[in-house]
Amino acid sequence: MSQSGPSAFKITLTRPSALLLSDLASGGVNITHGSGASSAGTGPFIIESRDDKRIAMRRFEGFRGGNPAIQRIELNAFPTVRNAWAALMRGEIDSLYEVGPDAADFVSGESSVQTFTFLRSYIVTLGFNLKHPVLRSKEVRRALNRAIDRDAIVRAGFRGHGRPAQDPVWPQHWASSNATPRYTYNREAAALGLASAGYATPRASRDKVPSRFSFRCVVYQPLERIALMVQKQLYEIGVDMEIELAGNVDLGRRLGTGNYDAYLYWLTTARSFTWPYLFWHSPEPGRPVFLQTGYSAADATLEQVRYAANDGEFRIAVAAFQQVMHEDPPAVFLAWEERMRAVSQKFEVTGLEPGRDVIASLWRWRPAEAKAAASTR
Amino acid sequence: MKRITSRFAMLIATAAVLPLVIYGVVSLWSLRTGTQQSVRDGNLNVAMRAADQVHLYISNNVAVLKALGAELRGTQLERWQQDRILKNYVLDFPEFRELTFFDAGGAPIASSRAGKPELTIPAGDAAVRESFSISGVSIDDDLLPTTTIAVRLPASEDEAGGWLVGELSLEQLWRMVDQIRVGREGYASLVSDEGRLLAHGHPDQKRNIASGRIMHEHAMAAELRAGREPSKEYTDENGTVLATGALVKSLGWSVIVEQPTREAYAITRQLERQLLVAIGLALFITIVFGIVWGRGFIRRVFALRRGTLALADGRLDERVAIGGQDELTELADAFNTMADRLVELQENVRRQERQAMFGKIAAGLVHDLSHPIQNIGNSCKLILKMWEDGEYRDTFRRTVDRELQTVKRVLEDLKNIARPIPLERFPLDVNRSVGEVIEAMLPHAEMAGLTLKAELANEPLFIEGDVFALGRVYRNLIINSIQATAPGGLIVAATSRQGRSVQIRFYDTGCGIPADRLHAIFDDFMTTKRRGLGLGLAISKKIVEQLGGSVTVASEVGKGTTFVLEFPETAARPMPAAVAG
Repeated sequence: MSQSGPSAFKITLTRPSALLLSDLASGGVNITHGSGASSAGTGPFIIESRDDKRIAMRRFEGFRGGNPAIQRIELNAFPTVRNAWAALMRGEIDSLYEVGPDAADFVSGESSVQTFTFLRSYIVTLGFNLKHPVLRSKEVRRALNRAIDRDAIVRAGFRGHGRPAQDPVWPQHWASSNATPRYTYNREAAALGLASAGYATPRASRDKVPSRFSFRCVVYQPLERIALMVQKQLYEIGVDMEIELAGNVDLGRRLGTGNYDAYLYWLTTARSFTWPYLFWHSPEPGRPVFLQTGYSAADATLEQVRYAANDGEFRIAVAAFQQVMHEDPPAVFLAWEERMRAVSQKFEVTGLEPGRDVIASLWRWRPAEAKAAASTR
Repeated sequence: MKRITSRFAMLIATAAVLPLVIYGVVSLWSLRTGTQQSVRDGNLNVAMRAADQVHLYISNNVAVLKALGAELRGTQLERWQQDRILKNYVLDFPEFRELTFFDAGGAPIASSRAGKPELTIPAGDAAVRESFSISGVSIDDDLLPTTTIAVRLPASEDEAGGWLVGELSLEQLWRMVDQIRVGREGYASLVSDEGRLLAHGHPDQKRNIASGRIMHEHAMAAELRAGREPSKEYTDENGTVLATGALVKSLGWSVIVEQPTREAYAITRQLERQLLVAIGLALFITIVFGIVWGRGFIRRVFALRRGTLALADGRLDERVAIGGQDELTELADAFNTMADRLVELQENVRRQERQAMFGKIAAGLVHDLSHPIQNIGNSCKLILKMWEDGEYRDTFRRTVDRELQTVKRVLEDLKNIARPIPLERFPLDVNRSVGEVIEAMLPHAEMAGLTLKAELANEPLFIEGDVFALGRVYRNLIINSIQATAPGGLIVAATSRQGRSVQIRFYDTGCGIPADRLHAIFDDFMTTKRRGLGLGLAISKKIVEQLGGSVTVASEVGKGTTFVLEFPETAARPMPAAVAG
């Protein structure tokens, strides 16, 4: 890497990397004035200060897109949505970062705020430990994929605010392929699949759920109701999924150490393909291990993605990755969740691209009064 | 005097307008109170039905919990089966956030939760005594109101007692309350017995739910808690609101339906406007009809009045023309008939008067002309026999001239009655003209055995007059006096100045004129004598008045009569020749 100008540098790679530019754009790279110094900033806002509960940012007047109308932003953490909502209603804050499906109807009815829904690039995933004696079977995992009614989960678990998932590629990613085969809900086919894999009709038991086999699932606490739905659907084909609730930190630690049979968690894919690569690729030296699964079926296609030389190669590689995820699924990919952001009517939200997160256009927001004043001049 | 138009206006006002106005006021009052009561009743009915639905919703869930409790305890289920039932139940009925089955000591037996149950059995003796209890309402992290329902499962011979406790999301209540709309701006709200706002149909009011707003200060909630009238009007920041409310049985919660009065009473106001327009229109039509009809009636009365006044004024050709077929028409017809009859009567009278006048004139002419004609005839007969007598021929000539003069004078009088008398006005001395006539008439007076004398003023008295016409007037008056005065009587002509006038008085000691005939003595063909046309005084009066003077008479029967002539004195003087004259 070498400096090629006052505000430019040159990176020379030994081989092509399709993930580099998207990694740079997605915030994975932080440019500072020096080691340990504050962020230099390349986006519309620069962090001024941060602690556990608050981040303060100011606008970056050298932003390539133009000078943001908002001069300063504070991000505050609230213990509950209700606290944040009450603060928004009191005018103490101007925007609510995230509103869950349960409160979506409530918030969208309020006339003093404007709401924006978007499809989060987080996927609710029932992942399996491929070292588990039963779950390492591809037939079993395929059968479990058929046993899950994703539509019912979206309808009842997310109140319709979501989209059924098939693989970990964000549907709104430009390279996402719709041509990949899909798992459809078929309880009988799932039961037959398990039987053909050697797990016959469940045996009756007095003190235990009758099951073909059982496994223990570490569930991220907010997803308890989804876990109950999955548990019920698996129970209907004779699979006993025991639920163990866990917090975020505990769950991350257990996934990294392989201390689980299965997990129910939000996995991020982001707009870049770096996260799927890191998550599903076999551990490599020098890279963080997020998932100790022993899954290597997707390594080849992920390598194709990483080293794709152009958009065409990238699309082919992504389609191949989706195909692998379907043929040898390391998880049941349940749903992409829709979320809502609430913004006070004090701001006029402009430049919002369809389907994009409204926060991405934050630098284009401007006070509604300024708009009214401009229109009267 | 009140005019008939005023009376008619008052008649219309009292007979039509006033009753209509009173009817309008009463109708408006009835309409307003009736429709407003109807709106209040309607809104109250909505609130009561909503309260029933809320009660039913909670009761149903309590019943569900009881049935579920009975299923859990009475079927010898294994714990995992109880667990499964509770989990499935929570999934099938998402309004239940958690269901946990406790033993009598409060230890959880089975739960819908994957982790440790968060619910506990209710505390306190009262809760234990009841078959179920409902906790206060709280707002969860997702901004949804929740409550906890605990159903006590009684002990039996085989099993100990226990509790089935469920955390119930009241979101469904939101949906129910959201669906309650009254008009476009009327919303319902649900308030707990603690005064907490649980649900509100207005989107902008939901923030008050999240903020846990306590509504003790809410006017309607306070009224309901106090057991007072379940409807009320009050004014808040959004204007005047009609609120009705109903209590939810057994829970103490209140359903309040609020609607801006401008919308709630919009129909009332519209009906009021329509009624006002109708009454106004009726008033207008009544007044217009009254005016048109009244004017028609009054016009006919006025026509009758005009006809009557015209008749009174002597215009007998005036008739009343009014249409219709009522009593007024009959009256007008009778009036016209009466006028026609009056015209006929007047014509008859005039005809009779003309006939009488003609007879009188004829008789006068016969009298006045027959004597001279007879004299002329006799003279003619004599002249044939006495032609040779020269003296008689002179007598014949004088007699014929005299009688012809008489005939000529009679005919001249008749002519002067019909048209103005031709006069020549010159300044003249009254003393001289009166003196000359007195002197000329002395022989006549003497022949009648009367004394005729003049009492003239000491100075000349000049007036503008016709000496010959005035002489005729003087002679008329003196002859009348001679004829009316018995022999031995006195006749005097006196002149005098009276201010700027000249007065000539002729008085006698004659028989006088009765008072009842005195006023008519100057009329044409009026005479007190047995014969003659009776034009002398009439012509005399006409001459005097044509000369700018006046004539008056005073008389007393048996004592005499006085005629007074009065002329304006003139400063002009006669020409010397005339004076000498």
